[in-house]
Amino acid sequence: MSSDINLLIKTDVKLLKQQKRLKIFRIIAVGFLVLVLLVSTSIYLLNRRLSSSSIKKDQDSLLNQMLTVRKRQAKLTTINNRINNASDLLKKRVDTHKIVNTLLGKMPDGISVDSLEFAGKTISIKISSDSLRSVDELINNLIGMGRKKEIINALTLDSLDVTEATGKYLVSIKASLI
Amino acid sequence: MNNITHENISANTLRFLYSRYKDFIVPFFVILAVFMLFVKVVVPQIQDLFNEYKEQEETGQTLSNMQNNLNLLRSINDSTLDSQLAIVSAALPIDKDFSSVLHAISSASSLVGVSLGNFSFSVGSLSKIEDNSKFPSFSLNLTLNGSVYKVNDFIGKIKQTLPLSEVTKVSVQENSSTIAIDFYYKPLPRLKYDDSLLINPISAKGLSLINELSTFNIPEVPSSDLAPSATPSSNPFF
Repeated sequence: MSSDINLLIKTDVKLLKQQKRLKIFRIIAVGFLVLVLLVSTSIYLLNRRLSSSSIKKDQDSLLNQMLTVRKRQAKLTTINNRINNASDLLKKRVDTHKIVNTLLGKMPDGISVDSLEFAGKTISIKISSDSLRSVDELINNLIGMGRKKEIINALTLDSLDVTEATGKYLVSIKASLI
Repeated sequence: MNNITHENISANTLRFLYSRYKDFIVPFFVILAVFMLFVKVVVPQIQDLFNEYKEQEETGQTLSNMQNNLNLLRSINDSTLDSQLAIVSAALPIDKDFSSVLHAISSASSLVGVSLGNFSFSVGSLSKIEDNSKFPSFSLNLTLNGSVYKVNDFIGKIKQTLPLSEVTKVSVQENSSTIAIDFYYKPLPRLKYDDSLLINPISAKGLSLINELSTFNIPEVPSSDLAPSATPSSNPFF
């Protein structure tokens, strides 16, 4: 018979192994429990520290102080709002004065403006003159403006009449604006 | 019979397993409970902690902005602010300010030296707030007695007069002309105080615009202009 076959000893080893396993299992269980408790407590303490009331107090104090300058804040907001809108408006509005002024500036001597109509992108001018040379100069001036794309985009000579009684030249011009 | 044997075997197996592993049951349930505790309590706590931290950061930023806003507003001079507000409000009134418009026209005409004829307003709906368009306006048709040069001078003067306006139509005939002027206004948006946002001071561009607008002709509107006058006025409107 072999002396290795000892069932009693084998059982003890198995039992010891199991007890060791159980011990490890218990340690893990207790360790986890302690760890979770520690983590949980730490987080709770951290949360409490973070949600301290000092910030809330500061906020309330600042809010109270802000109340005393609300009127100024409203004025400043209004000014900034008006500035933005006025700035956009000034960029967008058509400078009628400049347009009419430029056209009148191109009128040579001896030309009188009988009528001027401006609406949207069109301007119509009726002029009269004793001299055909002045009329020619005016038309050339306006053609020059159109070529240089200075205010005028397109130019149409609607009519050129002569009144025999007064000897005046009557010219009607229509211009499209840029 | 077969069933009874199976039940006996199962019961025996369970009994055997219980007797063999009974010492593991308590630690097993402890681990399970700890795991559940971790999932149900600790994880939400960690999430709360991060949320709290984020909230703290946001609150800190808000406090910093509030402090900056407070410093900015305290540093502003009231009289300067009032004069700036007066200029920009004269440039772009918050509603249809007929009184200012009439004073502007009267002032421009007297400065240029043209006499005014008939005029008509297109008021629009009085009940509806017309703030849908970016630049709401109301139109004024005006008859002027003067040459084309005088009319153009008037157009130039009204352009440099507050409230801001735009001449949209000009019809100049011999010694009598008609012009259409759009006078702009802009209702104020509802003011909302959000203290978490920084208040912008008036920008350099804004200050330059205020300076530019202050050079415009700003007709003074007397407080008593609605009171009936006993003596005939030189102002054609009053």
